[in-house]
Amino acid sequence: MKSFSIIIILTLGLFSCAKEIKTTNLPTPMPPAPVTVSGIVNFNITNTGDGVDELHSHDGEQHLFTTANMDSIKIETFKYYISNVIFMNSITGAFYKVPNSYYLFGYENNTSLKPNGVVFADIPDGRYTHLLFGIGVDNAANATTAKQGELDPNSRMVWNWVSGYKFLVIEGKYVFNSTMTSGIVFHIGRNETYKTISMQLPNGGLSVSKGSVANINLKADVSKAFSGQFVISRKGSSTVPGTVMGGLNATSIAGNYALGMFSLTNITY
Amino acid sequence: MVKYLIILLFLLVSCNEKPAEMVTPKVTETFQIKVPDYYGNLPQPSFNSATKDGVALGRKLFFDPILSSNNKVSCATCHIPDVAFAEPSTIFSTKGVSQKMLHRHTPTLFNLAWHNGFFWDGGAVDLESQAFGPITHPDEQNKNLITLVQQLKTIPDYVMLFKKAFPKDTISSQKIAYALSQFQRSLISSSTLYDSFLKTKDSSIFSIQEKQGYKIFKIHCETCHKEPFLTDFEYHNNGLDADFSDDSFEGTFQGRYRVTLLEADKGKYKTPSLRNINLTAPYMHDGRFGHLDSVFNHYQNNIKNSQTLDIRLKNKIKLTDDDIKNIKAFFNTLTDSKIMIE
Repeated sequence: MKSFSIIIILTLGLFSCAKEIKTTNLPTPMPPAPVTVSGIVNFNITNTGDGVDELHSHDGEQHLFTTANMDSIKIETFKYYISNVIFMNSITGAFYKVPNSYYLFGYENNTSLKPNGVVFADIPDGRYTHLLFGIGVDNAANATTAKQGELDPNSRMVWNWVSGYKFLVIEGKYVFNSTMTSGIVFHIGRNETYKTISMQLPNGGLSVSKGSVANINLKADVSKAFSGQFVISRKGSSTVPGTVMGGLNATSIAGNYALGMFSLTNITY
Repeated sequence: MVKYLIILLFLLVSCNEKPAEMVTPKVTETFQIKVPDYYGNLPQPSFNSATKDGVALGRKLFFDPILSSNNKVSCATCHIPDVAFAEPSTIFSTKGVSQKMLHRHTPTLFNLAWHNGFFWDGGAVDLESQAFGPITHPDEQNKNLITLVQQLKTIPDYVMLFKKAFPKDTISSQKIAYALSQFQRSLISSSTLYDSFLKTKDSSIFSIQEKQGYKIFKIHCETCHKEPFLTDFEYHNNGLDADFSDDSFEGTFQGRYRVTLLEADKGKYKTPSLRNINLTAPYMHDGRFGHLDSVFNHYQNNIKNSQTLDIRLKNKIKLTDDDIKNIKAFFNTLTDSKIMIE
């Protein structure tokens, strides 16, 4: 667990020093970079409740997921922003940041918000050993909410009493038995809960060349919000309430999901 | 005289410019919002500075109940123009779509361009972001933004107005907020007797009582209700409560703490402007005082001590009955009937 955090801190450090890294592939917005713009990457996230079954396969009342704390949960809404997607070669330091990359992924009303994922076109050719992205939106994007596109406040991912985006939303209920339930409303946001994820890509990394098409398939496991660093449960010693909107409990939940929610399924070409 | 000069200037300009440009004015003509010198320049975000068409669109949206789910509640339902865009008579508004009581008093809308934060606790960082609060709140206008945009797109008048105000864009949540913000920034209060004094520095325009009240105001009130806006735009705990443990309704009763999560901000709310104070009862963030006498009584006798109480109120405010009469006389000079440009 600790070593993972160290890796995250290290990659974050790398990220913050990225400007100083000498690289031939560093994209410059103006004028268009004279790189051999080429590959396409389809970026897809499957939303699951236990790392296996997709959320929509459990849309009936009787279909529940079980957390690591042995709570039965029913998930109605699971939405999150993915932002600042970066492909990086940790050996050469070269990286490509997908411009203006803010995407609302998740599951709502029994359907995936992005069943076909998103397409990153124009990725400079090369080999990328790591995929980095944020969960939520960065401080700059979080400052105001009158935005268009993926950040349009019409997605109900902004608060109505404070300026800012909800980074990740989980709504549903704990199910104790056939008659007893208790609501789950986790609205996680605020700059301090913005988390950056770094994933090592297998088999030497993602290979992009002229005309290549790669599919990166990720999994987002909602149950991982309930365990990891902190026990989030409605029983035992857990003190986290069913409704969390900001504050210390939000930080705990964000700490959990930064650790284990997102994992790489595979890369196909 | 000034008028003639302007016309002359115009003529002069028209001789030098290409005639074609003079005949067809730009669609998004910038909107000159008149502001007295002592206010300084009108602050506006570079991405949304006012245009004539933007303000006109914002104004139409502001008064249109289409912004609510039941098509009955406009911004002006609670922000009533005649009373400085505040809401008189009721302490807790029940005018929202759900008709549930709201927990805070409808704030005034004028001189907003100088504010750094919106809502009583500064939760919204700019007017553009603030707009989505009341529009989407289930107990206020409860409008689904996707529905709103769809509806506006079917109304030819709006299609035309949006095109004029934002020629490069289609109707969107963002542009609704932009237009509303432009209109709200155009609401300037600077046409009071007090403003005549600020412009001329001639205190003889005040009655003896008003002048005396102004002096007492300067001693006891001006530290927070700073001239010329009569607010410092800051957040203070003015001793209304001492216990801020109730965190219900997303921390509504905890003041600015719910925004910053800093202990030091518990119980702090934005200083309201004293401009138009005679129009804006009830008073305080939650409208708990129906009359000015209750406000004076609070500052004289009922300040509650707590960790975050503003230090300047530790010893309460000592006022005689005459002081209060005089301050009230001064308050009469703060009423503005020309906030909204017709």
